[in-house]
Amino acid sequence: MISVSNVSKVYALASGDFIALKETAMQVRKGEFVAIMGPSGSGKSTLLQLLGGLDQPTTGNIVVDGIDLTKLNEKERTLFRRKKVGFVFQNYQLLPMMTVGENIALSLTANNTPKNEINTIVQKLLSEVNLQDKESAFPSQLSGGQQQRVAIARALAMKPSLILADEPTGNLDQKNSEDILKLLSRLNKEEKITVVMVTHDQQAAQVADRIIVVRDGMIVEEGHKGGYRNEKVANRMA
Amino acid sequence: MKKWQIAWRNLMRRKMRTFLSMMSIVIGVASTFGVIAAVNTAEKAFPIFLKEAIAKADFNIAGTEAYFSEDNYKQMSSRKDYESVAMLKQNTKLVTKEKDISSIQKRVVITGYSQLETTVTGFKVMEGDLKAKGAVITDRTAKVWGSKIGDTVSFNTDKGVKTIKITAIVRYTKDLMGPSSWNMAKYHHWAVAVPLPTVQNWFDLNGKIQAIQVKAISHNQLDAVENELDHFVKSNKGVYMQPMIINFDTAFKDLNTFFLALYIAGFLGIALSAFIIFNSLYVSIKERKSEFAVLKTIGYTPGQLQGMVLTEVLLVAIIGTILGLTVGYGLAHGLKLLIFMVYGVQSNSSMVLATGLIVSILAGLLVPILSSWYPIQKVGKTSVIEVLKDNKAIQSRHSKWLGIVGVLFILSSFFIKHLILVLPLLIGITLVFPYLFKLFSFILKAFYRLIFNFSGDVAIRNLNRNIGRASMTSVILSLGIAMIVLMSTLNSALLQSYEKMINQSYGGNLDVMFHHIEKEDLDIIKHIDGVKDAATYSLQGIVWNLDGEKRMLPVYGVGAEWIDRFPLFSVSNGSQSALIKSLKNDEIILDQTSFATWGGKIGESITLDTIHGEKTFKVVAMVNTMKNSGYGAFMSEKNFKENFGVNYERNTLVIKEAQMSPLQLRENIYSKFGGRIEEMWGPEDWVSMIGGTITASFSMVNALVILGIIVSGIGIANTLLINIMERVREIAMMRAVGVTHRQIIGMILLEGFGIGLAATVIGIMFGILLIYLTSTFMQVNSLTFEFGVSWMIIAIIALFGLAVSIISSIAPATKAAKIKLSDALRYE
Ligand SMILES: Nc1ncnc2c1ncn2[C@@H]1O[C@H](COP(=O)(O)OP(=O)(O)OP(=O)(O)O)[C@@H](O)[C@H]1O
Ligand SMILES: [Mg+2]
Repeated sequence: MISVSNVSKVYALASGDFIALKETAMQVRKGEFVAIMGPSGSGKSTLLQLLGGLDQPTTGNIVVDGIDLTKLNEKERTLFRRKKVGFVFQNYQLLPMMTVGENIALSLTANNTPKNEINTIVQKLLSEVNLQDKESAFPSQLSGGQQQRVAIARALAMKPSLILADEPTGNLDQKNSEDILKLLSRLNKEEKITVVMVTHDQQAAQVADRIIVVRDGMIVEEGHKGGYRNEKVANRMA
Repeated sequence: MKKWQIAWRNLMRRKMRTFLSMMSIVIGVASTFGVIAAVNTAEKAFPIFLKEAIAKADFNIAGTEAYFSEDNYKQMSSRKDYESVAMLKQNTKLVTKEKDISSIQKRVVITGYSQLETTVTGFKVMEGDLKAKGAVITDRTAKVWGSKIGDTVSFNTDKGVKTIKITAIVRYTKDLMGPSSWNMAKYHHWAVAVPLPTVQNWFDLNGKIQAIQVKAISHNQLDAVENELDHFVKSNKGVYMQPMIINFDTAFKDLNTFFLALYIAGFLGIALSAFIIFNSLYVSIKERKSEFAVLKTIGYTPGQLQGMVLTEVLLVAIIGTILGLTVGYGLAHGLKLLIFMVYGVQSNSSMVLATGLIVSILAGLLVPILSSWYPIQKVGKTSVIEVLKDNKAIQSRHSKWLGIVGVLFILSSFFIKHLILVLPLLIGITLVFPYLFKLFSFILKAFYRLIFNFSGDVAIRNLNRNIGRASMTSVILSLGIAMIVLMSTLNSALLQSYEKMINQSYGGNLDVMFHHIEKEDLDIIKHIDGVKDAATYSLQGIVWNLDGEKRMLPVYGVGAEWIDRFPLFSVSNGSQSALIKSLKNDEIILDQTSFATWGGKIGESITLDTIHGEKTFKVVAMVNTMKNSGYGAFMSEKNFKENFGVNYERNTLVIKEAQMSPLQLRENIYSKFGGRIEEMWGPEDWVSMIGGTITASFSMVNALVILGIIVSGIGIANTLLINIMERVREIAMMRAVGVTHRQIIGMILLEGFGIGLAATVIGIMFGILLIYLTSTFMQVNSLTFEFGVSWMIIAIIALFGLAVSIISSIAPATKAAKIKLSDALRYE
């Protein structure tokens, strides 16, 4: 599903170049749930953004679902994001002037999907994230957990094959975090959506099939679900 | 000085915004200073110019026949308490090597003066010597002719070619009024001054003169001189005396309205700058909330923080004002030159700067301080959340009252019968604008969603989110558009009304003014090729004693037998001839302008100087005319001659054959009479002359307003940039979930377009209201103009307003599309 080879990301700063990612390589299989962990500033978000085509790597190739992202132009990358990827952010990033329903429909409207079609999709997604009664509420009227569920529903609108979540539970309490993780896990299991999630939370990381640890712009460890290594990795990061 | 240093550093941190605020102060100060200084200068210079140009002399002695004996002058020339000069004018043709010049363009009026160096004419020598007994021309004429001192000029007179040396070049003066180019010579003759004996010799008029001009040595002696002259004309047959009078109010009739319009346009400049300052300060304070919070925690009091911001505002204001004064000085100069040019005033008078300086400095400092009041208040507040909440509550409470006050302002403008109504109306519009904007955006919503899908939908939502800011941006553009709708419509309405009136009351297709008309002339004219009909009339400026003040009233002697064919005025009912026939010896008709100047009622009397002394005339009717720009009175021919004793006529009205061109007709008539013709004017000349003045005046006002509209485009750009800055993350998120570049650009463009569209639609609506309101009292030469809207003008203005809004949205839109997703989405 995802194949990252030889990827570096260099930011040009006034004080000189800053290397955020160094010669990184990794693979994610279709239907896999991968957690990325690592200390602050290690390059997790940078890696996630590259996977989602939000930015271009300085060197190396990223192939997602057979598409080499480094070969796409701006417009093609936009359409790639629209059709293949669902983003979930730590701070939800909902549009305050739109209702829950309208927020969920955002990429559909941008795609000029017909009204009635949008409507059925939104209804389905609302029940999927268990927010049927909130369709015409505004984000400011929802709790953090509810907002994050709206964000996940929005990410699902175009039936993406990949969900990229950057600390989706970072702003949530225990209970809400569990709900969100359950939801992501269920989408991964039932809908066969590949999930890559950045997190600081070892418990969160436990739902993943595999944990990747990034430090100083390099992947330093990998562990597998249920395996000793995976737990050890998660514990150490916590 | 540390305080100022900190302020300066803070300003430099936000260069773009500081620059915009500074620009807006510069524009506000410059337009205020420029307009006030230019208008003040013109107000001071115009009367002086008129006095100098038209009436350097105090009295004029003229004959009841075309010429009278020079002996009259010799009798009085020994007096000590006044200076006098005898004059004799003749028309002739210039001999010139200039190519492709028609004989009309060669017309010259030669005036013989008994004395060329005298305070009566006040010629100001630039080169040469007035005593040298040669020809005197103005610098303007010398330039067109390419003449120097010592060159000769020749004239093709009826008595052969006469040549004279040019011995003096003087500064341009009304006494020697002449065209500014060969082309203008089609409309006006050249003028040359020579010693009196020269004219008398050349034209076989020895011992003859036609006028004596008199100037009192000192102003105190005016009455004594008048008595002497009175006595003198009574003891000499065939001459009469008139004081030289300037009717300032009629000479520059529409000037005050024009100046007021300029002031209002200047006021727009200030309003604009207030708005931009408010907007950018408001935002930069919002931006710096966390900075202020930090300063507070380390012990800054709210007062100190406010002082800090105030220092920044003052710094921008002071620098902006200084720059604005510099720019404004240039603007004032340019505007002064334009105004003087349009009104044909020649003057080297110095600029009147004091009032402009005071007002614009006050405006430049106070407007920024006042418009920063509200934002600075917010600096004192602690909690971010509190500030936001407070703000909302206060705003909605406030604006309700402001809305009501706004409606009252708008209503009050319905009762003001003066162009000044524009001010309360504009203030009213500003106050109710947020409501109108909301209403408009509601209507716009459906339209945007339908046509522009995603981008339109998001754009309209964004507009509604910051409706206060959007409507503030919009209102300025809207005011500019309302003003320009009014001004352009007034311009074309005035032109049309004038043109219609001039054609209706010109009395034919051409008015030929002779030196004097001989008995057989009328018959000769009637037989000229292209002439269908002709009639002669008398016209004389008569002294009118109005409330103890002397004025000059042009009085026409009209024949009842021709007035219907050659209408010099229009009547509301009945015929012109019936009206003229019904006039008794002591009855007179006034035109609308003189009637308004007089202020009396039909049936009351006016007092005029006649050859039999002061006499009252009953005003029996008021008529409309635009003859000679419309100011005068009408009497029957017979009564005119009996009362004013002018026994010769000078003007002939000509109606042309349909297929004859106006220019060919002039050539035909001129070739018959040549030098005896002084002027030929057709209605088309008046239309283009008056039209030119009106259009040029309006253009100046419009240029200022258009400048305002363009700058309000900067306001739109500013607002959009602020919006984008606030929503960087949102935009990045949209891009992340698959909204394209073009959709983002479309979204911002549509946001700007929405602001512009609202401004245009609302502005045009109020513009039309303004037209309606002004049409209820505005008068074109005392004729109210009819309420009418030119959809052509409206369409052009609408396109302009929309173009400005779109163009100013382009830069913000591309900026929004260029937002770096990876940066914007990073969570701090
Ligand atoms: N646009 C940029 N310009 C310069 N440096 C950047 C830029 N974006 C990220 N960096 C740097 O790259 C490094 C990696 O950043 P990144 O956001 O990927 O870290 P992270 O692992 O997600 O950290 P956190 O856990 O705090 O979110 C950081 O040191 C950051 O300062
Ligand atoms: Mg991160």
